[in-house]
Amino acid sequence: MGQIQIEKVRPNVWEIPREGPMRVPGRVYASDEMMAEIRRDESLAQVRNVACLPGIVGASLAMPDIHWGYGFPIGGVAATEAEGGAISPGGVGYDINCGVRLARSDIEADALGPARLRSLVDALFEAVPSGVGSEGSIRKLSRADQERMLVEGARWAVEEGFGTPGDLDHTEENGRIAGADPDAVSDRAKGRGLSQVGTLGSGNHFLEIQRVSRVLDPALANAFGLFAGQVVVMIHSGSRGFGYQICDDYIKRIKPRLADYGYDLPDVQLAAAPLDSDEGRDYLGAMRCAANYAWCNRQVMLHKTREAFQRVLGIGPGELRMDLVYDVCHNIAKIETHRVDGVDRKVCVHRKGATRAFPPGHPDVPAAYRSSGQPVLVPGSMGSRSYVCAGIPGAMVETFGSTCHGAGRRLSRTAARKEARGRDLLGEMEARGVIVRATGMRTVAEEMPFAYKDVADVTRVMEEAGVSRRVVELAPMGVVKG
Amino acid sequence: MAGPTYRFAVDRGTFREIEHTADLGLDLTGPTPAAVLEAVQRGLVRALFGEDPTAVPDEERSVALSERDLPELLKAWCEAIYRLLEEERFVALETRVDSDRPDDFRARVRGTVLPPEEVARASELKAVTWHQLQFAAAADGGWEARVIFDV
Repeated sequence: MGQIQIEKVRPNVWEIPREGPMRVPGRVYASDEMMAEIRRDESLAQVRNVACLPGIVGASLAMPDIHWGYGFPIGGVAATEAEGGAISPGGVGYDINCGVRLARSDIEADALGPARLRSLVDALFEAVPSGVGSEGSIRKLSRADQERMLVEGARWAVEEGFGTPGDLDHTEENGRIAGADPDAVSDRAKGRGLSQVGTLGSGNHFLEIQRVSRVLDPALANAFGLFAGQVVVMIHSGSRGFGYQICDDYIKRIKPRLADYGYDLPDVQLAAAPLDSDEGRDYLGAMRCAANYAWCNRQVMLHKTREAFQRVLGIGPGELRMDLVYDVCHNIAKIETHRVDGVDRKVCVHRKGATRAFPPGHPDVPAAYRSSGQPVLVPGSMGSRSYVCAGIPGAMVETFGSTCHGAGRRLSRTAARKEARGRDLLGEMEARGVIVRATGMRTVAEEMPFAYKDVADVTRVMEEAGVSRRVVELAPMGVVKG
Repeated sequence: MAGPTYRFAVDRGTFREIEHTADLGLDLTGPTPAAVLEAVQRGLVRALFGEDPTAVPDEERSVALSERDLPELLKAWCEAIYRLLEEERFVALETRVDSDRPDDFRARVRGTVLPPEEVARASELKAVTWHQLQFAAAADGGWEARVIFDV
């Protein structure tokens, strides 16, 4: 297909016209400055490749945090027909239900002080294992426990004493997506998952103590229980080795069947199966197990966080009031109803590095937020600002109810390490008032703010495009990294 | 107890870390497929730890794989090396490929078991991806390969 043709169709919205094997056009949300950077890598070619997926409807979409992934771009959204369309494990990614949860508190940031903040960061670093091979946050699961957890998700954790029923009310899908099929999961995946519940992992995953640094929409902030100067906690992690293995197992299983399905895809990593095939059904059942695993994982980490806060601050749960604001996933495929060409249709929405952003009144938004719209959690890079946004009606028209998921990388990991060479990174973060505890300095170098786009620009583009609204800005105080 | 520090006598391949915005990738070359597979072991370990480990090999593991073709062998081999690290905390430091046939791959890996805190410092490998996965004869008569890791 050669050089990518892309044209600006309105402010912050660009289109790749349909050509060759593309079944739909591509559409990218980005400012002019962002587009100049996006053009530098292969992410636009990946938007075009995704447009070749069988059964894709509307457009192959990319959010402003788009960057070069593998198969799908990171920040990609694709909806395929639920009947007759395809599901792509690569369109979900290896870290199935990688996501973010935000918990509020009644603690004011100014009341913490540097010594207690440092103690909190240390306590969280101890309580939530991170890095390669991290395990042991809770006991190793029995196979029977695991089977139940894969079906029950975060509900299993709450029933085991890791949280409250209220947490489930504030989690996408109530922390349990229906249709999980443990029989569709390999023994290898199950084995990898036995001891990793309640662990952070590595890479861009983090646990941050933050303060609400700016309220941008007071009414929505109030609806979300957030106020200026408040201490909140953000957790970013996913389904760990369990999810990675499922994705890999299914790409390997689907790849040799592509010719049988009549699929001719431009990248093996896009390997897809018809939703109504054995492979498609099995993948969906296994992927849902991983989604439930991830919700359980983040639920246990929240419980450990609450315990650490109570221990260090010497207060009880009533005084801490660390309630879950929301938990969203940003790597998933879900069967949803959307209006396509004027008709309501069931579609399989792949969100790979994109967040659901349902508006007020949508039946899938929890009762607590039915009138405000779904909270959307958009973490920035380590040590930079993050945002809480809200879904608005435009998301249903523009993006299959989706918006951005983070800042989006600007530099490769290699380039970031070069940039960091010789610098006192932890000292730089402390100078910004941010205490960092990390398992390895390598990750710190790769995840420094200079390696990422400015998340303020990313969320602004989606606001100006009428997809999601910014509610509060969050500033980091303490960071735990793998 | 520290073991012998000899290096296996194989034709050395080369690896080069490639720029990829989200992930890590390696371009590999070698006079034989075995040399490329030996090089990816060194490249992967350096990519995971950010430097060549200073540890001394004192244990050996055997790896046997049966795959459809060379690219799939490259992927499975990288997964096997990472699995040793994740499951046994065993870091691969040297490799001897006894058979580089995709359907009958056999290798011996010399390395050492690291303390948990050392392993935790490595980058976590989510996957050895299929994206741009290549392993084929090069125009100059040698062999070349590319592999991209999701980290």
